[in-house]
Amino acid sequence: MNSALAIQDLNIWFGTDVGVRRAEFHVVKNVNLELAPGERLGLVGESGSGKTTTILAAMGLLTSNAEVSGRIILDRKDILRDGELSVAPHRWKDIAMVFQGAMSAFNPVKTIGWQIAEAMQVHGVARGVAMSRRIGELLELVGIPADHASRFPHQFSGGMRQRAMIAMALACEPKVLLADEPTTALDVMVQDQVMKLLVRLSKELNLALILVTHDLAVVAQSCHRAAVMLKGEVIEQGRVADLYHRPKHEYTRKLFDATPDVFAAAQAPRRVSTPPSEVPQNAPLLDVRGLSVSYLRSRTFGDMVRGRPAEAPVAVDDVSLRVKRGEMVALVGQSGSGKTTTLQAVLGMIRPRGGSIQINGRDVTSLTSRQWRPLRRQVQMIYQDPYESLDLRYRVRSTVEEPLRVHGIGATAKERETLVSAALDRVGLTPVQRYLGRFPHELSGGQRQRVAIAAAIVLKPELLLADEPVSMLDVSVRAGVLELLNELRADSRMGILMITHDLSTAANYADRVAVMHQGRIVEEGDAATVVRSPRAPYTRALLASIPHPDPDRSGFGDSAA
Amino acid sequence: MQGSGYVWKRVGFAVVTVFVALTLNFVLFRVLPGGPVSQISRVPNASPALKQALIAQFGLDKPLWEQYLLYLGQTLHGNLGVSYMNRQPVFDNLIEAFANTIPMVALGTILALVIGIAAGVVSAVRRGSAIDHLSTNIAVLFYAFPTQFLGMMLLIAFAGILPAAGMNDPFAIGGSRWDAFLDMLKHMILPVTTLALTLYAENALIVRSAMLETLGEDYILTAKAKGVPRGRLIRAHALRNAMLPIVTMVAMSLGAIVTGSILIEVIFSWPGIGRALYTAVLKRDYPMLQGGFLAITVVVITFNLFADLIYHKLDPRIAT
Repeated sequence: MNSALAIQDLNIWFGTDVGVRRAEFHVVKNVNLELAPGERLGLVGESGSGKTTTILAAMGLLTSNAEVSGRIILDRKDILRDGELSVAPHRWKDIAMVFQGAMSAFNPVKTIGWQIAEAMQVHGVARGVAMSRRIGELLELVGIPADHASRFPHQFSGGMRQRAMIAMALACEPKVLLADEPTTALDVMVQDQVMKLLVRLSKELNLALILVTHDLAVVAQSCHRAAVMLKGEVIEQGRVADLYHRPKHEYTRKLFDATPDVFAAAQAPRRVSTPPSEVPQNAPLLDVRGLSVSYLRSRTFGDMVRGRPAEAPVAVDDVSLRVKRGEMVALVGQSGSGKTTTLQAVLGMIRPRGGSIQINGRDVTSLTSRQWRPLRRQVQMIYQDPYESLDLRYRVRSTVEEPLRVHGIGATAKERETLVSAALDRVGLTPVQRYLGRFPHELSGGQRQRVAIAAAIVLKPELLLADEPVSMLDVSVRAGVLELLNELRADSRMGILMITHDLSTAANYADRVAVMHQGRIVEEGDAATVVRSPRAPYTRALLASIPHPDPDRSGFGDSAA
Repeated sequence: MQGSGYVWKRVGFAVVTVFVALTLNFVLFRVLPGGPVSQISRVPNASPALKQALIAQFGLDKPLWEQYLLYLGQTLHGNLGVSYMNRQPVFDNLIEAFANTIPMVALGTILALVIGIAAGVVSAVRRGSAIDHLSTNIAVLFYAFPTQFLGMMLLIAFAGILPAAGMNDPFAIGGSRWDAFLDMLKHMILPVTTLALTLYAENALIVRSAMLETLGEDYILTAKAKGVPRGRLIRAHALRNAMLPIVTMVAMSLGAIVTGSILIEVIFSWPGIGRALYTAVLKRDYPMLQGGFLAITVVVITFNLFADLIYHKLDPRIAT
């Protein structure tokens, strides 16, 4: 087989300390991958599975504390054989790469055009007028107007930046493109555009593509074959359809199961459901009416001179929401749609410009922070990133105990310890004794989020606000955390308002869904109804851009497999 | 270029700051103990009448607010008053002093920048190597050294070999201008070395940490993947971005250098602004002090303004 790229017997070790003590970590084990021209291969795995390390090795980009053995075959030559010397001529000319952080992958102080030009200059591909013309062509190829070449990265949106990155990757007409989580930081609709672009380019230019991602649905819709990595090993590889229908490895099955499927949710809504009649018909726990919030831009010197007030763009416009006891409401929208602002207004962190917010029948719209304090017991918050929301120097015990101290609950240390243990037990961190004394860095991402939830529910709040509670977690632990929230809702009768950008998650777990777009709620209703028969055009567009884990459904390339 | 708003804002702030400094300058010296006349009138047979006459002559008998208005008005006209000590216009005194200071400070600063950036970049690129350890430790050593101590040590070590005081040889009369220039350069060696050594250390440490930070950024990995050669990678990507914090810190310290030169100028008897101010403080020469400190304030504010404007040029993200 005439392959575009072959990775053979790749092994990578990372030395934690280069010295006498060779405590080494074997992070990639005997990886073999082969890629035909124009073929798209998905490299799937959770964080730490070694997928990014594998493709970085293929370009010789690992840091110097990595030890690599194996062969990277390109054009029948092993490009790793002579180290840097033999890899350098192939970088970007034969193998190019698109990185995950569309935000930070461009040099912030150089124009996009300059950075694309640099790639061509370095390899002597083009110069002068021909080069300028080529930059324009490349940008237009990815759907960016040619004159945008003179712009700086910060003037591009996230999606445009990632497309510009793809344009830059194609500058020297490579045969192989390595894409490392190219759409992870992007909204689902932008992801849809970027993935369609990658698939189109791969077909048009006969470009071999390795797509590294944790999202099986993206792979299912864009790749011919997939390789699943677990703890540094490729445990299974084959055609995407085979993996989906007949996975040989249990882990592959697990990954597909954990991938949220909005369409299945539409058929059989809610994994653990409460019949609507069971939801009590009492007054809503949270009642937001006509909420509007605008952010004040600080006045500039010019404003002051001219006596002009600061501009006030509206972030949230006439939003009404209700959450009842024992009900989970999902607020769905893209970044910048105003969902987090809504949540902050509910928490009293931002003063609304108009409308009212009632919690448990009490108007909290214009409470001072002092008046808020006793109320905080009833309303608790769970944040997006458990790596940042926990204090790294607090043990689990202290983290969970702190809210108790703040609110003066539990007279003795022993009493508080009992409450803390109960909360940890409730979130499934058992046996509790094993976790009490641990620091956040000794916990996995899912465990950290459970600790954060424990710290929120230790006060036995009635209303729980969750801001993207699973978006930073690996796919396989997401379900567990969502399941936990669902139990809190069903058993402890908490009202939960969950923010998410992921309609699938919302459809699977929430009773009701409110879709937010540009500061307004464009559609609200029963979760299954919203997914099955969306009324608002925006909801329909959102649904259409969600990739389906079943490769037989039409995808990014319409005929991917 | 969209950003004139930013420039005007910066200039506006600079002007306001100068005015505040002007006022503080006035108040500060009035509340200090000791008066100018008591120093000057300390001559044999000085009568209270002489003292009174001097006070009237200097305008110190007027109420404070009147003195303040006079001071403001005159300052804005470029008249900083007449020195109590040598009866020359303060403005002329300052110009002369600055003219002597600037070559010495400029040379020292440029040396410190060049050596500091070079040392910092090498340290960062070869992080953890023997060269990094050596360079960083030397930098920390000089950073911790008090200027006056370093100056004294150099003076003791090299006083016989190199000229140790003044900015030219008072006995070398009649040489060509070229000879006079060479003579001045020779006199500059010790003060410039002292200044450069103390400043280089700080620059090296700042550059090293700024470089380490940018070297870890994603766009460095992108550039590496693009095949950008190492030298260009360091210059066009890493150092270019590391310059952002460096510019601010260097410009801030530049202002302080003029004041910092007080120690060096006193040690090496360099007839510059630092020594002029030192003498003025001892003699309670109000106009000279006010003028001198005002000048330093303006220098510091100007350098900060420069930093802001350069930053604006270097970082396209600053638009407003």
